[in-house]
Amino acid sequence: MHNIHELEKRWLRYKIKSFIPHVSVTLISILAFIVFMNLDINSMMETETKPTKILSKKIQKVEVAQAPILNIDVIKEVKIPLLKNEPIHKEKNVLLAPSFDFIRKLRNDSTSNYQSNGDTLQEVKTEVTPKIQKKVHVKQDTVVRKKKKQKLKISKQETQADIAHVIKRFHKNNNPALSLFVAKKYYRLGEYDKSYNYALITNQLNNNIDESWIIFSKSLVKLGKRDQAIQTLKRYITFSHSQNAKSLLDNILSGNFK
Amino acid sequence: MKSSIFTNSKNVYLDTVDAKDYVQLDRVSTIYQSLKNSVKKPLKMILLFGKPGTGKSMFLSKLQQDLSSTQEIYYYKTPIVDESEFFKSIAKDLYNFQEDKELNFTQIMKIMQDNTKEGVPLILLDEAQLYSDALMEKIRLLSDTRKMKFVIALHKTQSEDLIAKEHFQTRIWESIELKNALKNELKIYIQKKLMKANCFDSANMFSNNSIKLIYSLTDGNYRDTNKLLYTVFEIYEWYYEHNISKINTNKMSHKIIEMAAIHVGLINA
Repeated sequence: MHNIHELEKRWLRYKIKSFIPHVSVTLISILAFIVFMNLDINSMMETETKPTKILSKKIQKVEVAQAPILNIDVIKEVKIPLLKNEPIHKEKNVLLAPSFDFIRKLRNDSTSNYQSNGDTLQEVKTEVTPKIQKKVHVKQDTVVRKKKKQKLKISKQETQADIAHVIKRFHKNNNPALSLFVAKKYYRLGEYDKSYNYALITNQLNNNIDESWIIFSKSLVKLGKRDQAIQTLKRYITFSHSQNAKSLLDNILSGNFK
Repeated sequence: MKSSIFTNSKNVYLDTVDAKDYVQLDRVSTIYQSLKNSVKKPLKMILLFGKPGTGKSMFLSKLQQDLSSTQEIYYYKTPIVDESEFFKSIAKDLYNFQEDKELNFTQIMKIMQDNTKEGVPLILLDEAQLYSDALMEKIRLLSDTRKMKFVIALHKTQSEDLIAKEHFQTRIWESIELKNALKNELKIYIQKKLMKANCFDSANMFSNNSIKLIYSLTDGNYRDTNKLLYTVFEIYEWYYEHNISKINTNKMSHKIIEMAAIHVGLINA
């Protein structure tokens, strides 16, 4: 008979050999699974941490937009303990924006400086929690209000001084450019009777100035003399063929300009 | 005694060609019947081919046993590769013609013409792939005389297919292919063999799983199965005598099947 013990050993070796592929495949599968799980956890961790970075970046944008006015303190407050407490999806719906009332006031003050500041502030929007928004608002308002008071005073003084100075000069040299400037200034300030007068004076001095006729007609409309304005513009167009005048006439006739 | 059962079981699978050991399987029986029918037809040559161990020799043996009572039949188990010896054997067996000197093709043709027979004797040639091309050509010419019929069994290989093409394609012949057993056939084969030898306990040891394992190792080849099972029962025999606690006599051990497969070279370990 055969050497059974030797045969058993060979059989054992064969079994071990035949199991090696199965064992290695199983081990590889387990390892792959573990690696995959780790990657998955890591990616989940990354997605959890990503919003923090995004938020801080956006906040920094606010900082840049409002740079001269906003304090760094505000940004420090914004940064972040809130992120742990607040759900991420809620943050997207919250806007950090300056008060629109404040902007309107700035515009009414009709100073170019204010308007530019206002525009800048209006464009600044970002995502923060409501808590942050409140804090930032408070700070922004206080800062800008201070500025508003100062600049408003200064610009009004400048405008009045400008007009008075130009009128004085106009009386000296009867330059239609100066009278047109005064008419435009008054029109802008909403003093349409004065703008009408100075536009009329300008037209008498030089009846070929487009802008003067346009201010004259606009002032008439604003003073409620729409028909007179239309008549004036039609006559002016017949001899000047001015495109600006035609455009204004169309706007008046269509009711776009009231 | 159980040991004797394992010994008997082992001997069942001794690799011998004996018509008594022929196992009746449905598909094999159908093929065998078609071979028998072909022999009755006026065919000059019948080709029986298949891989080694598919039962060609057993078929020829069985055919000889079955037809010997009704027909003149001669079975040459081993090829007679020398032409003269081949012709001398034919002359002696078919026509009782004894010749000490060499016998050539012309002489055997003359002997055939001189001796008329009632029926057409059937000559079974096993391992025909070992015959030379020249001798095969002469065998073809002998069959053309219609004085004798040949059943030629050969292994199916590429070169043997060529022999078949060259020598038999233009003749009126029938070819029958033998194949390995299917899984269910193998189970019947294994168990029938054991039951024929009254080894019922051993036959009951084989479960479907153990048959599946044996099939995967032997691919249903009868010779390989015989070799494997002979060794399996030999190992059982040894364990029974030396370490009976290691074996379960009611169920075929996969370990022992694999050990036997390693021993006979079906598993490379």
